[in-house]
Amino acid sequence: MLLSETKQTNLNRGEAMFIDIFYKSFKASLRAGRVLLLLMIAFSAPLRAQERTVTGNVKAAEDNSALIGASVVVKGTSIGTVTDVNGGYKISVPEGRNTLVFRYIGYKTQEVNIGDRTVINITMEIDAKLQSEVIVTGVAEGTSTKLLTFSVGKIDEQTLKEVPASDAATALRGKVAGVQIVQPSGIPGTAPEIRLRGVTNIQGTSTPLIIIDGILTPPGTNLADINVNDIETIEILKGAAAASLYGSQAANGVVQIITKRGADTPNKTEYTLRSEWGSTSLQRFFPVNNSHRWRLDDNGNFLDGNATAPGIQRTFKADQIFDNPYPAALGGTRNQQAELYRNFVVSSNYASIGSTLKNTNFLASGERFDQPGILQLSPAFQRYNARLNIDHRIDKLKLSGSMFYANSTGPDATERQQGGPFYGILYLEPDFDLNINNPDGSPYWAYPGQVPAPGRQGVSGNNAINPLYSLNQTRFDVRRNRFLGNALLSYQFADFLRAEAQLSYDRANEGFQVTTKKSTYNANMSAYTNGGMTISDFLEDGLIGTGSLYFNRTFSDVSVKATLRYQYENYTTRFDQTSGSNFAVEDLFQVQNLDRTTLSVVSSATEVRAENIILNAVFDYKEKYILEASVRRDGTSLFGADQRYQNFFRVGGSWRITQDVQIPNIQEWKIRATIGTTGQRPPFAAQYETFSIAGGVPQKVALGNRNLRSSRVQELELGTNVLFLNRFNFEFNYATSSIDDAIINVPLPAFSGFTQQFQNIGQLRTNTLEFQLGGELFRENDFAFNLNITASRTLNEVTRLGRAPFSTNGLFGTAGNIAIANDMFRIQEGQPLGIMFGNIHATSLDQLITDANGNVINLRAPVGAQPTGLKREDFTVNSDGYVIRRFRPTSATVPANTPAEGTVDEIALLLLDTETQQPLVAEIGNGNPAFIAGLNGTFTWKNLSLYVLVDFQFGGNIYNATRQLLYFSERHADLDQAGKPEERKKTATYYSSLYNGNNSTKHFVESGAYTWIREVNLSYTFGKELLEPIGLGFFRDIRLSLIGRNLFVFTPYSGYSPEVALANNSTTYRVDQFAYPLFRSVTGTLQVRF
Amino acid sequence: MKKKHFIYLFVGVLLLTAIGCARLDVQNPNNPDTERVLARDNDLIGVTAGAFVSLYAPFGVYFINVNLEWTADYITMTNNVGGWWSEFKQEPRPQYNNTVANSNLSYNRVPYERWNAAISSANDVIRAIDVQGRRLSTGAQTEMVRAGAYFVRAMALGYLANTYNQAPIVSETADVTQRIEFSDYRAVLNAALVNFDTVIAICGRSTFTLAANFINTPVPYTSAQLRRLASTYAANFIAQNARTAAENAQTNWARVLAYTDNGMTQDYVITLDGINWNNGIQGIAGLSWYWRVDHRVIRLLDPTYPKRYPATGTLRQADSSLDARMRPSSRYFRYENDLSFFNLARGPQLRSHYRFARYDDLYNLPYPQPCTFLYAETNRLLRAEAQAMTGNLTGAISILNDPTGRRKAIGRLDDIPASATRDQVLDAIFKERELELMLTDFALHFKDNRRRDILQRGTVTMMPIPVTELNTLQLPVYTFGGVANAGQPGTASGARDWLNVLP
Repeated sequence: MLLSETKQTNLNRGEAMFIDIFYKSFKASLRAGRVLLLLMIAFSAPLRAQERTVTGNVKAAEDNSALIGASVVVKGTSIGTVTDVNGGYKISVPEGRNTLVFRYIGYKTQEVNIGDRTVINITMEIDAKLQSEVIVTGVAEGTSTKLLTFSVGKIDEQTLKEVPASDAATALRGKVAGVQIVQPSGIPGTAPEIRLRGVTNIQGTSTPLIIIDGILTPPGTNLADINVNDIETIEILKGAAAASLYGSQAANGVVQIITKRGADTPNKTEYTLRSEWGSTSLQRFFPVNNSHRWRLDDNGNFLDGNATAPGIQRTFKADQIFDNPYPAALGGTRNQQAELYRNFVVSSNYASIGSTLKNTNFLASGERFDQPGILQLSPAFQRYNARLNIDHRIDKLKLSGSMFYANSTGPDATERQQGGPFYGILYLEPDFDLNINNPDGSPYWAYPGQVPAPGRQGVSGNNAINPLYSLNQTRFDVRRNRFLGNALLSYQFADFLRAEAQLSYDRANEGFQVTTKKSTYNANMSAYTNGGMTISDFLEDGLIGTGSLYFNRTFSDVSVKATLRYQYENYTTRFDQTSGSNFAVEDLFQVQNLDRTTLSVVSSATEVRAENIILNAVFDYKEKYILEASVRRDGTSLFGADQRYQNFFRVGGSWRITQDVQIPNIQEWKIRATIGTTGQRPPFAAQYETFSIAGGVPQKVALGNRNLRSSRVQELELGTNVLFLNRFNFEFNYATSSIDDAIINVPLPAFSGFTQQFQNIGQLRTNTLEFQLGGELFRENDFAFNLNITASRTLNEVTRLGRAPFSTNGLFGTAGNIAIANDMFRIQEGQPLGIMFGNIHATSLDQLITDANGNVINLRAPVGAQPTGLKREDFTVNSDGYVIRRFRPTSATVPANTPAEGTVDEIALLLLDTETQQPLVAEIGNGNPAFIAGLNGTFTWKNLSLYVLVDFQFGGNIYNATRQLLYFSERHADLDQAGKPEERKKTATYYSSLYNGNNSTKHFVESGAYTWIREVNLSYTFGKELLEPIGLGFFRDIRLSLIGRNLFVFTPYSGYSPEVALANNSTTYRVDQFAYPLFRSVTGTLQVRF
Repeated sequence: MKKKHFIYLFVGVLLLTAIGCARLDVQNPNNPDTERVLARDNDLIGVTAGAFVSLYAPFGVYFINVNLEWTADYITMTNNVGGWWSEFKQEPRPQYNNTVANSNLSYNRVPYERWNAAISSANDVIRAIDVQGRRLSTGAQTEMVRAGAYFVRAMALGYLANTYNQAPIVSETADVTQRIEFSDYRAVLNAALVNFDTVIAICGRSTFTLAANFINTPVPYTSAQLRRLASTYAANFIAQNARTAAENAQTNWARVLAYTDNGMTQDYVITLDGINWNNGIQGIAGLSWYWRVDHRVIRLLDPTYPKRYPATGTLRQADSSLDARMRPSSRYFRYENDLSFFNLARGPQLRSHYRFARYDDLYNLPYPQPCTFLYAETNRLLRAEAQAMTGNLTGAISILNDPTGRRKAIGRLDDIPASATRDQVLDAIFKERELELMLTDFALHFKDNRRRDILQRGTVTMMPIPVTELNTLQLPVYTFGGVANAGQPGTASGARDWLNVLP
């Protein structure tokens, strides 16, 4: 309200109305939006006094129609107007100004010299770049965004090329509202997880359907294969309303990648060369303990505590406080992380040739991408891409073809468990030199915590492997090949009827090899393990045939588009794995070199068939009122035998208000509503009764379900799109989804023999609010500033479960074999997914419950019995905020009323459930962010441009299991008491009580909020005007850029980075456990076009 | 015009005929279902083999059955990465945390699930033969499979009876789609014995050799051997069913004695292959820095050895003159200098210089390796105990003093005098069980100590049904253990607490 009151005096009525409407909208949602609005108003200043008047009209070149609402601005001022309903305008030009700038969304901006003229008529041409406002995803055929009844997120080439991402998923970050990207691992060659409007499954993947140039790819498609330089646009269908045409494949939304198919300029062949070089680096180190609690002798060396076997054993200080420095004589404290995580050269080289001719256009490209990451002794991710897109038209026949091939090799690493480098690097004591040679002369002393290295006194009792040794001895190799081919034949039978046939083929081959050398020490370094090897090969083929009939006819003012489509899908997979141990000879990494008796072979295969038919119809009346409906019938072999076919539908409508009502300064205002359904296909084996076969012996696993069917996601999306001031696009969406008949792997009673069964049970509901606002905020003389802001908030809740709550137990994307995460998350009615459950240490005396005698009855030492017979006054809150015993237990050496804080008797106490007398299990955290936002802007001055992308997460917790295990190993920085005031120092016993036996505990729940400067690009473009004078006129342009990715993060999270999670369901189950840290890169780029 | 109409018609018909043409029935090529698993009568062999694998799965991973031996003060270690120390080794003993916040639920859940799974597969076989009348190629084969299935069911019921306070007894004709109520551990034991008796009866009247994939023994296992094995296991399950000394006194020792009449005379050895056949607890015992021998066990050979490790200083080696099994050359135990893995903050009492040396080959040599799952000595000692408990002290002493027995042959101990009291004889028997049956059957030492009341006060004496199963069945969650509950069912009274009560 304050805003509209103070600014209204300087605005005309229409502007004021607009400001008021949108201010009220924003007030209810985003503070960030308010700031942006202020900026917009500041730059949308009112008209000033004039010296002369210029009039004229503005027309569209393609049909000579009047362009209503086109912006006309006196260059170098903020004086401007918009064209009226006839395309006419009238503007006062102050003295000294001689240029008018004409702008209209979708058309090329023109700057016109006024000269002596008082009448200037302009014909504007469509801007080729903005012709991409036609949407092809989620609709039966290409449709203008203005005729859509639902929201489609879109990232154009301009945005994509500012900072070409390493993969197509990363390219989505921060640019479209409702899109959440989480990179759970920094391993080069792994693409992040994409979530569209939150989770849409209680169990199973929430990864969207990926379509590449119309080719539907199978679940699990690795976007790290796709070269972003080839991408023209990315379209995103965030919910069931938009995605219902894809039926049972689209419960998680759809992302379509559309690659370039020709040149920017007609009838010309264009070449692009792009080369990028730079360096990677770790953003920040994990905080570790640089002090210890061993006794030191007078020389500052570890005091030997074992008279029987000198040199073996250190002894602890009596006070159990970690505040002794590591002996300087042995090298003191080293930053081992700096020795493991190094800066490496990252590079990419890209070349393309494209042409757009009268009947033919094509684009051929190739790329080499080399991303070494930051891990020492680990191979780089290297990717080679080749693409050929070609279209040819012969009269009424159109032929299109695409071929894409990617070949990559890359690293992997043992994450999330001991044995891997990310565990060892944090577990080892800081006085150990990673580079000491082993007794056999090989590099990197293997187990310094178990066998003392020469010159290093004693050992600490730590079983971690030297990370450099593990990387040197065990090599992970991942190799992928991907081929995508697509052929399309289209024939225009009549003006109103077209038929199309499409065949696409997708082959993905992934090989994986882990090799441990023969001469690798065992954990005691007493012998070699003789090594071993695992080789696996995964092959996936997808073949999709599609036949479509398109009908398009206008009857008076009503136009009708209808599509009938049949699609057949066939996907097959084949997996083979051989593993064994005990190499016969050194450095021969073949199966025949393994001990035959240790060989183990596993294989599996799957086949999925599906057919579906779609009928879609769109009606519009004068392009004002749009009604759209579709129905799809899906049949797939993944549904149970008694539920082979499922139906999906969509109905939507929109009203382009500004086609009926003229609103000053609002060029387009559309409101829309769509309701649609999609579903999720069950995993391959879900419907079957299964026995596992190991060593030729069957054991019961899952009970079959002939009635297993698709989950049913129904979404209502309400939204509006506004184009105002001829500069700004605003979009708001509200979407509410109900996911019924969710596919859940339900544990069965043990006596049934089968352990689980996939069932359609439960209901999950999500609600999403999305805002997106963007446009040219500012343009004057040689300056311009574009800004795009996105924000979204999604809430989910399991509204119906139909059974008792149960733990995810490794089955829900929480990753198996990780005990801490297995039972922390549970599926429970009335709760969102991603809620963390665990124990809580008392933090206030108010939490203490007493019995009739005043004895506290709800406290338990996490490693011992309940403190009994103690009153509330026997406890106090320590300097960390935890409830502890006020005094030490009295003994022969401890007088009465000795404060417990700072002594070995200081123990954090768990709250107890008074009914069960077991540690209280309660909600301790929530992985779901309150909302996420992105902000990207480009500031240009002449040929210099600066692009910045910042993304934000507000709220959302991460369970820092790495930190918890470092409490166990006494290696976390929290335990380092050096420099702490004496009265606040804590003992090993105290931290052990917080560790809580590795059970999920509130102490390790941290905020995952962040502000991240993700992408920065500072570029200078040498255009023809600069190149021609120096004889380089044959270049279209040359662009030099300095690019930063993942540059700086501001977060309260204490780990490497707040973007960390377990694999599989990274956006829901946020647990940090020894993962490859995310890293930054800074590169320089040279791009030449001719 | 006509041509156009024809084209439209053609395309339309093509599309319509395509709809519904796809064959959407796809077989699962990776996992068989019951129909395929039992397609032929001889397939019953495979299902029985699967039941055996399920039965022995809880032995496979080292951390599953270590907990109960830990809490029985047989093994010691300060490792708390899996919550072992805080769950089972803490003093005074805490209540077992049977909540979903416990990150180590699998230690309780896996045995429960696998033994029930073994029973389910055994039921499929028994139903096929006894109810549906299916027969294998020969009568002997049918009897072999039948015996195998009954043996698995007997063993799984026995383990459930002796580990949990209750369990479902599922017959081959039970409707498992309906809830099956839990039975008390005594009833579960009785059900196990019925099945053991069936095995013994089948083996008594038929001659066969067990299928190679039933049990991975170094040489084929005969019906005669299976009969002996079943007899010893039956005796052992009866003996170890008692939760307290009082219950132990009520045990049907005559029946134990009867079973031992025809018990095993050879060690029960399985070849570990690292796939279906593993033994985690023995397999890792040879790792020098991991778990060690609790002083309670060392004191069986050298009673002068301290009960606990001191807070400061180091400990000497035990006196090996009292029992030759304390000597390194006997390869029972091995003294290790390094104690650095033993976190003093968790208590000096968790430290020990001694580790188990009896299974070093299993640890050091690659698979396949022979592993003893039950020593023949088990039967001899059960027989001695049953005799002592039924009043035949002379018989018991005679077994203990047998010069071919390990007590004499390796331990080189003096004879038990004929004047020894029953308690002295029993103490000698239990000492032999602790040493000679080292880490063989599932939680064997824990089960021996609870029936002698020597577990520390507050120690769990049996496990509750895992919280995950209780949740699945929507039953109230419960648990055992904790000093506050000492003497209650499921919690040790500490009446003869080896640490705090016994000298």
